[in-house]
Amino acid sequence: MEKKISRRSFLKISGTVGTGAAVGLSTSTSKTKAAVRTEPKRIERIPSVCEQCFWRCGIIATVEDGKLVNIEGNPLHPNNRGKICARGNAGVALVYEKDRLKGPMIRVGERGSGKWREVSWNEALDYTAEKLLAVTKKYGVEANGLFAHGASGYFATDLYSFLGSPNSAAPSFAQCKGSRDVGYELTYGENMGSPERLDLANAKVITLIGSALGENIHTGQIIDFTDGLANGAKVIAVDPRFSTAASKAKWWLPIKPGTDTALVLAWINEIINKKGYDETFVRNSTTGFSELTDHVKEFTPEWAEKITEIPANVIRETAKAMMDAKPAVLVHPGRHVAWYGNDVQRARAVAILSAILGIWGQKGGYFLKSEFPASYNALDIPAAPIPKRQRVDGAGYRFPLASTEEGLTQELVKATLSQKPYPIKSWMVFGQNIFNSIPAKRDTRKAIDNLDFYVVVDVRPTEPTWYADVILPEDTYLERYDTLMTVTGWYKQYVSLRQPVIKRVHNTKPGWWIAKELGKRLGLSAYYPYNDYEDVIKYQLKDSGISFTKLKRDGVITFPAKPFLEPGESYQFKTSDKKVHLYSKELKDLGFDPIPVYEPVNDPGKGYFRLVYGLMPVHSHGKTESNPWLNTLISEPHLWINEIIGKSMGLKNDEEVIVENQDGIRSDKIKILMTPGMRHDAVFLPHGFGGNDRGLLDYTKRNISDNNLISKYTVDPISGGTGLRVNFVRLIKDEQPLSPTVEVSMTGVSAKKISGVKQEEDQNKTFNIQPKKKASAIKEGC
Amino acid sequence: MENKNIKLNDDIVLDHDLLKGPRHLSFDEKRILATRVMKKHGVGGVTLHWVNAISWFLLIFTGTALLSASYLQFAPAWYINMMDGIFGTRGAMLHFHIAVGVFWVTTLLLYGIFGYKNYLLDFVKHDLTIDKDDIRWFPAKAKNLAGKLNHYEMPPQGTYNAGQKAYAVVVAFSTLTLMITGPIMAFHIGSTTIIQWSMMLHFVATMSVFAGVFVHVYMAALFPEERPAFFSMITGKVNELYAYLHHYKWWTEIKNEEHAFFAEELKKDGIDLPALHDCKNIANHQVNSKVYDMNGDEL
Amino acid sequence: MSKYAMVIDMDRCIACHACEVACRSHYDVPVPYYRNWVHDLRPEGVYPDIKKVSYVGLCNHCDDAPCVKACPTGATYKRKDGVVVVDKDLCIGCGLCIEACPYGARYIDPVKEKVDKCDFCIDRVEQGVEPACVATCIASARIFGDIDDPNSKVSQLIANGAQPNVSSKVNVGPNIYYLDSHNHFPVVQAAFPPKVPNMPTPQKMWTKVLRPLFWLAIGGSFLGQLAAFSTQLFKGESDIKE
Repeated sequence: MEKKISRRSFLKISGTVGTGAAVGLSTSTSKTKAAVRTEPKRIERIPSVCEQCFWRCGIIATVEDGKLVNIEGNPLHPNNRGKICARGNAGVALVYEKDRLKGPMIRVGERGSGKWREVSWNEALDYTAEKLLAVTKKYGVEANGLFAHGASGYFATDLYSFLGSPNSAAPSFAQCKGSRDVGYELTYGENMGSPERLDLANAKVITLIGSALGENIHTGQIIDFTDGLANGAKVIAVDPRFSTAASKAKWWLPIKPGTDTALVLAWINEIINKKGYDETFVRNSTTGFSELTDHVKEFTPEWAEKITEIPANVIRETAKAMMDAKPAVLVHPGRHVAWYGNDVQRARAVAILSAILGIWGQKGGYFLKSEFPASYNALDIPAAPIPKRQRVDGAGYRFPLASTEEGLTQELVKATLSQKPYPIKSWMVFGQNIFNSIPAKRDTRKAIDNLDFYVVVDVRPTEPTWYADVILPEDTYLERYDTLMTVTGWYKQYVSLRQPVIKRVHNTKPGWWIAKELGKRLGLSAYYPYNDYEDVIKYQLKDSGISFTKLKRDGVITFPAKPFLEPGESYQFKTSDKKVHLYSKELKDLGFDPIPVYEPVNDPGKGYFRLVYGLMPVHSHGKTESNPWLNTLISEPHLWINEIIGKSMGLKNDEEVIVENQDGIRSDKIKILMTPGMRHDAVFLPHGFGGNDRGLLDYTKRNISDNNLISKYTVDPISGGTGLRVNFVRLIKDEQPLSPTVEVSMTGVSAKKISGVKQEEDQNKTFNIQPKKKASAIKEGC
Repeated sequence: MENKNIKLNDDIVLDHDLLKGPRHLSFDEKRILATRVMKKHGVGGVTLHWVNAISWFLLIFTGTALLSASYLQFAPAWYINMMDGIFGTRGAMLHFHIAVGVFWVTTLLLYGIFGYKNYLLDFVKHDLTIDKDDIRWFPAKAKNLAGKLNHYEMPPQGTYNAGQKAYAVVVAFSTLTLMITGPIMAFHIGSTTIIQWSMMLHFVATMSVFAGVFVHVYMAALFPEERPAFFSMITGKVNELYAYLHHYKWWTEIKNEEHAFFAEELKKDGIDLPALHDCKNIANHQVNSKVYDMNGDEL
Repeated sequence: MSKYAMVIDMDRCIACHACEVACRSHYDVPVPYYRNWVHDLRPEGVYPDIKKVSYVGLCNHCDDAPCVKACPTGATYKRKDGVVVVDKDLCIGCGLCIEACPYGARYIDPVKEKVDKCDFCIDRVEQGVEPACVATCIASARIFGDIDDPNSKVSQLIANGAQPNVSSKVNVGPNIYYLDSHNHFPVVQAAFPPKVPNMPTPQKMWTKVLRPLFWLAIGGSFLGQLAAFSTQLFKGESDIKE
């Protein structure tokens, strides 16, 4: 009957940040027993940087006798200011997740047979290097393709550039924020960075166009957003779905998907017509205003109403709200903008709207980018060779403004599939789920068949891991060093350090070590003059004035920034003429529209809905679905559908349907969620779930991934970014396609032909509540 | 048959007469019976009784104090506070309760297993077996207490009277219940439903015994007529007068056993002890100069 | 003396579930149980008046806590500072408190076989640190403090209209308050009304029938014997006479 003392409850409260070990004796606050002395445990609190998503929050890990017991937010870190989200908290469960990759493996059966043998790191790396060299010998070094993502993905990207292959790509560009960055660079000469330089806390009006703010849980933005709300900010949420942001909004604009550019153009029209723009800023800091005025003349709110299905008076009202609040109007540039394949132009429209409101460098608007006060030593290594052949993905030439650093994943897949313009014969997939991030999964799967060699480096298995020839298991972010994380600009600037907080649990290795060891075996020893990455960081910081010891102890070192313009100060934009390009000559020269125009979208057709997707706040992409602490919160996605439409098809909430897209690709059964908070012509499926994981993982193996249904995509001709919201789906129940019997107008409220709709009261109002056992049944089976 | 001198004393004649059925006793008869004692309980039995009694006492005192939730509370608040004060903490009290319970259950189990014949079967035979006389005893006792029926008209009783038996049945079933439900609660065996039912049964069992304990204690320790029973739980013995008056069937049983025992023993010495039924014929008949008492010792 | 309470600012909460996981991490709460929760409701209403509401909950540390009343051993008790805690030493895992709780705040840890629930991180609070859920709350939607202190933030928010989740049927003095300026709280109350404390059959039998019966029986038996004894004393003892 000896009471077990919870040491954890003690160590949680030792408040200071520090790597020094704090040794504590736990005391009991129990009513029944006085303090009981037990032998002391070694308790360490080590700061690091989270990687449950890519926001990179500062964390403090509590480690008890070498076991990670808890993760908290680092109060010093500007990204998250002591807070962390559900996923960050669940990092503990990631480390000890049973489905992790636990040691290097080489495939023994057929590719896709799921048969591997466990091997030593030496054998795995020798084998990998041998295969890569064989491909190089036969097809040239450029035949080696790389998909990399995440902080340690940089090591792989570097490895491939040292090797001389130009063919590396990350989904962070074409499937995420690439088009936004291109659009903003065309307009302002610089992009919004990450974290985006947004003063949400001081904004009076926050305009969110298809933003997942509230569901993507970018911690600092949520802190600012909710502070902004508390300060009385009015939110304009433009989204076909009643998102979390919409639930906080004064105006929810359930826009017809794909027509956002029309709305923004109408706003610009209204603001110019009502002289609601910032005249000084427009006069001093922009070019092309007269062209813009002429261009938007016809794009009246009435014109936009027909396209967007947002009433003209609502467009006027929201435009007025923005004009009145300027410059404290935060027009969010978005983050994942790979929607329709004309996303650069939409991003430009948003950038132009922000420009004429004059929010650059203003409180409640966009922060300025500041100069970082320190510079790091560069490693003394040879320059990477210049690739002999052009990239296969067309970045920089076919897609003139695509990033050549991040590349275009979908184009690399296409080139592998067609083996044109030249063969791609090996892939390394480093820390990403290429089946869940790159559209047209079928193509990706088929392309693997064209490979001589396919190696996967990851922390936990995902669906594409199944086909790997070699699996190289990586440390979790809690077990490894990564590159220094430096953020310049924003409201504060900082450098933060990801460092191991525990000894690795399995036979895994950090990304830098894998790259270095592979590099050595590929004859690239000159590029890796170190044995320990900690030494690299020390060397980088040596002359920067930043103390490595302090950085290691505190996890982050911040520097002041200059986020706002002084009154009367004019900003030198990074464009050719130091001004904001409302009219883009650059685009004109490349043969594109110099000012954005609205490109009409197709209607889904009878019985079909446009498939839109997004995030759920407890999951990151496909990274966290198997995390037991997060899976218990949301274990499967619900397909959102308009309530009236759903009822007219005879559906009930939580009923399971099969979703089939225009190409006949089907999902497994997905539960539906009927709500008035969803447009009638679209359905919403949360991203990051499902896939045929085929035995590698012990959780849902249902094919309920949104990406599976995104078999069709368009490509932005300017940036090469993909348009993923161009798929139409219908619902199948009992092998019968369902068709709505009513027509609904979101903003006109009522449904026509209502006779077919059952008006029964829906008893089961809740959704995605975790399967909770009834309290009385809890002990069953004991 | 060897003619040995056996003096059948008055007692044997008396026993023989008395064995014919309970009746009013003459003063002499009472005097003789009152001076004789019979063994009712062995040391084991006495020990068991007091271990049991003390355990019950401690368990009821702590148990009723543990039961503090207002939905369930049985004892008054001042009592619970007092007990909290004595034990310092509720945890200490619970642990004490469990410890005593474990000790109690262990003792009973040891007695039940190793004393299977002497204690368990004996208990079942004498305490739990009910006959017609027992059933008739209850209305008779009521009349008796009302002064309408004297002792000699009462249905004859065995080792224990029907009232004691009835209580023994309650105690036996309660004990069994407590031995099962106690560990279920103390060691969280089974689902919450099982624990909840255990709790209820635990309370019911305890309270059933509790309800009878005043009668038990009063009748045994304070009520004059039954007081020998109380002392028997210390000395193990009762006087025969009490046995005759209150437990006639048991008295008869013992007398017959005794007689059979002596007959057997004397036979070894070649002496024939006459059967009880023809004792009458040899009453006051000097057979032998030697005189034996009822224990077979030479007087 | 302090009395602890929490205010949930529904205007700020964005239903990110961080609090839920932080709590799990701090107390090793086994899946699928939880000490605090965010229950998301599907968006309801008619355009433009649509509400997407989440019910953020935890133990309400009620003033008149039914769990305390139901706990047979006194394992669940209310501290002087208002925090309802479970003394694991005393818990016998009977689950009566789980049935009694109007908010579903309790569970039995399948490993320890003892009841567990939110204790307002009282170990932390006593060291001057906020509860784990409050510390991690990105939206600062959880505000913890002392309502006996009129200057505390919680006191002010309650004065500003934060209300507890009570109904006409069930009001046991909960100490979790909900701040809401968008009429979201009624939605929560409709979907998650406090449950009337449930008494399982055996407990009901005891409380309603058997307990009074035994009071009578024991009292009666005691008084009866007392009467007999008194009579005996008054009359004087008549030993074996006749």
